Amino acid sequence: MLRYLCRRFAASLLVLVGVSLVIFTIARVIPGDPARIALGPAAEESAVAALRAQLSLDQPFPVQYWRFARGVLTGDLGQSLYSSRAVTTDLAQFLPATLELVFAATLLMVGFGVPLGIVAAHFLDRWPDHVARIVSLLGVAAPSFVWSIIFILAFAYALDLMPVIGRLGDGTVPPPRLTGLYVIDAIAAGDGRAFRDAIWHLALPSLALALSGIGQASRLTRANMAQGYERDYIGLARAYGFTGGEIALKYALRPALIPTLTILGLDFAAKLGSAFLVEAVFAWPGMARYGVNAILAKDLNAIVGTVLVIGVGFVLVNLLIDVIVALLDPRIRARGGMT
Amino acid sequence: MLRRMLMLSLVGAAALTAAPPVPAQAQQRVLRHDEAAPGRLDPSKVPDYAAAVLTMNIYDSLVEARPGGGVMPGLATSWTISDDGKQYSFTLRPGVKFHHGGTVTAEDVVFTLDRTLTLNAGYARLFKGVSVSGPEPMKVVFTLPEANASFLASLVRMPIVQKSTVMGNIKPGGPYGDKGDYAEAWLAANDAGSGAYRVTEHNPQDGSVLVKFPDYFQGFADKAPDMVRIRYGIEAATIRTLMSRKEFEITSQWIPVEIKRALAGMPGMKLVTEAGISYFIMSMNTRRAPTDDVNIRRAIAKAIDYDTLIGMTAIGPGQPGALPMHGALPSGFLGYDKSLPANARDVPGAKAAVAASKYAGNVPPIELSWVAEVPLEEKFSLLIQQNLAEVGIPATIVKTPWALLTQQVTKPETTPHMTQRFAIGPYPDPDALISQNESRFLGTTLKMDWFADSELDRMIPAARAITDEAKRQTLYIDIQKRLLDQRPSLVAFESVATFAKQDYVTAPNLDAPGKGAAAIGSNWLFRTYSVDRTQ
Repeated sequence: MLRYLCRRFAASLLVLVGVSLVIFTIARVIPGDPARIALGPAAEESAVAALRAQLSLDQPFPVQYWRFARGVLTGDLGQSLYSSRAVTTDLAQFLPATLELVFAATLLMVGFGVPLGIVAAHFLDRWPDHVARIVSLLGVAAPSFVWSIIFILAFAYALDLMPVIGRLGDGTVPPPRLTGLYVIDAIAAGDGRAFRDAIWHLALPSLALALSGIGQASRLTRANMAQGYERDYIGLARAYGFTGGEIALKYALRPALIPTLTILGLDFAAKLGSAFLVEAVFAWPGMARYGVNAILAKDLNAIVGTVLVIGVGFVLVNLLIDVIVALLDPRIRARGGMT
Repeated sequence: MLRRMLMLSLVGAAALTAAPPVPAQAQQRVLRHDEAAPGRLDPSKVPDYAAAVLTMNIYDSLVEARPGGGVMPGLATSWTISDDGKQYSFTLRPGVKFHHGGTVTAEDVVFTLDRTLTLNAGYARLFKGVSVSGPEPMKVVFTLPEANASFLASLVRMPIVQKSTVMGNIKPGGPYGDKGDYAEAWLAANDAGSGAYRVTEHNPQDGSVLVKFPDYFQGFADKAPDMVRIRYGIEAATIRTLMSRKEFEITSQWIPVEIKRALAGMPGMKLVTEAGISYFIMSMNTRRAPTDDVNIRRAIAKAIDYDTLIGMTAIGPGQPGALPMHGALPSGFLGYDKSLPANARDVPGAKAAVAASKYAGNVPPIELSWVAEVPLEEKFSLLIQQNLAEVGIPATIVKTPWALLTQQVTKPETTPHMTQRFAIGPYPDPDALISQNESRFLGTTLKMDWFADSELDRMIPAARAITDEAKRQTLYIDIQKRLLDQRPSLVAFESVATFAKQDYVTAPNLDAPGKGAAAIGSNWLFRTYSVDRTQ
């Protein structure tokens, strides 16, 4: 198990170095002089040149990358031109909001998507399956920002039921920071009002973000379970007199979960970056929105920092999924030397 | 088991979606407003509208933009200007308190100029070569390298920071020697001002919370907001919902015309405007064929259908988004002259100008660039393309992100033939906009025409050096005539910024069109606003 983890971890490190190199290069290829954009058109050329030098942009590319890599190793991602603060400070502030949103969306994806798939597979080609198919297709068909606007129009504008923006209402004091995830921090502080308000504000954006994943999870689970139902061991289980529920959860679901979990893991990491449209509609102060604004402002350090964090999230989640999949499937464990 | 799992899922989902709403705290008078992200707080780095609104409310400057034009006393009660126009002496108002305690003295003014020049960002160029001394605790003397009549007005853009607070928050190891980071990091999230509001929360991406500073020396309107909450970068559809739910008091000007129109139609809402301080300008690259020929530039100026162009900006009947332009200065500035010829379409005149050009009969196509972040410019481009085709000037439309444009305009050969931008006066003096025609701004987005004209380079500093207003008026009219003749750029219309607000909010300078101050952010003094939800 340890050898397997070490091998996966080493591969992950290589991936991260590659990601950093690629994004570092791409950020510098995007048109526009970051120093000029930051200082504005009226700034004198001397000021622009000084800022370029401060950012090491007057140095050869390898020197720039070396300075960046050295900074990363000491936990310094440089300063953001966009917010005038250390990128690490910005990320520490914005990342928890995105994490909270993506965690909630993932919970919904698993909580709704997988059971929907199980029901669809269990009632294959009957009306529950058809309903599940329609729900899944609806979720996948429209992008999350469209759902965001629909939800706002329906639940906030027309019905006036739900809050529209932010993580908490104007009158709610944020709980003392422990993780930066308001729901968890509110529980830790025993602050029921902040907890309810945080959940209330989280509901629409997380659902909008989760809908496509719910559809995906549902369809994958259904397809793989349907395949599983055709296997001999399922027939054997039936012959032994196991109930439908037992067969579904004990024998059909377990192998069917492997591709679903893999996709959900990838989806989780992808949502760290792609949540920006939902964040924009709900004025959610998250990292994805920060990253997009950084790209528009050509804020080099912030771009690289944001992508690196997403990369780390991606790698960690994949590592976790690999371990879970290996635990679920003894063949993978055996091949990977996890015994 | 299956049933149990399904039940658990449903319970979990219900917990996420069915929590009861939490009522908002509504005891205070709160004003909620949106702006484009980011909200920059450091007064020495203010380059945009959002930051100007923040600094105008958090900081004070020696003089303030006066509604209707010019300046009026701020932190300074009076001032004198030396005969040679190079020395400005100010007497400071006694007893003006900073948010962090202590009062404003000459030391703070001297410190502020030093920090501004050291950081060399934002509006630092306005004070290049200026030195300041504080011969007495309540007196400061600025010495200019040359006579500059616009200096007084430019002080609107020098918000005074408290020396002790800033020095107490510097981070060592920054790029400014013994000043460390000169408190750049701290001032990015905190304030060191004396203004009507102090900052209690700030997130440059999410929003700022300002609360009343009860000791403010100029006082407040009767029902001035106790708290102002500014949100950054909110989607237009979201703002519409918030406005309809009365969870938002006043919008920014950046929301689309369609949303403004929809809001104007809702009960209890009204559109208000800010005019006279900004314009829409199209620059023509004078170093690339065919716009290097003045006749082609004149033909372009005559070919454009200005009425339709202005009509595209309209919110609705009686709600124009732009006004016809006379000359090259908006109506809020000294030098504006309604007798200068207004832009007008003249197709035969345009055709004659093309025929008089060296490209007659064979006009090469021009690139008509529009800024990708401003979709309205695409509509303008389509109209102009059609107008130019009518007079025999082929044009291709090019969508250009702002970041790319800033790079393109550094060289004449990469600068598009025609570029577009909205410009706004940073301080209430004609030099704020006219000086952008000096050749020192070549290669920046302020001057994308590449027109280095010795005549303008002589006339503009001359107008700046004279303190007599009547003489300056004449000189600025002459400068505009030169610009109209040579047409390096085309100021197509005066912009009218439109905002939607709730009826229960009063914003004096915005509620009285044409009575506003001619400086970015100066019509957003929240202490003069009223919020009365009992209406």
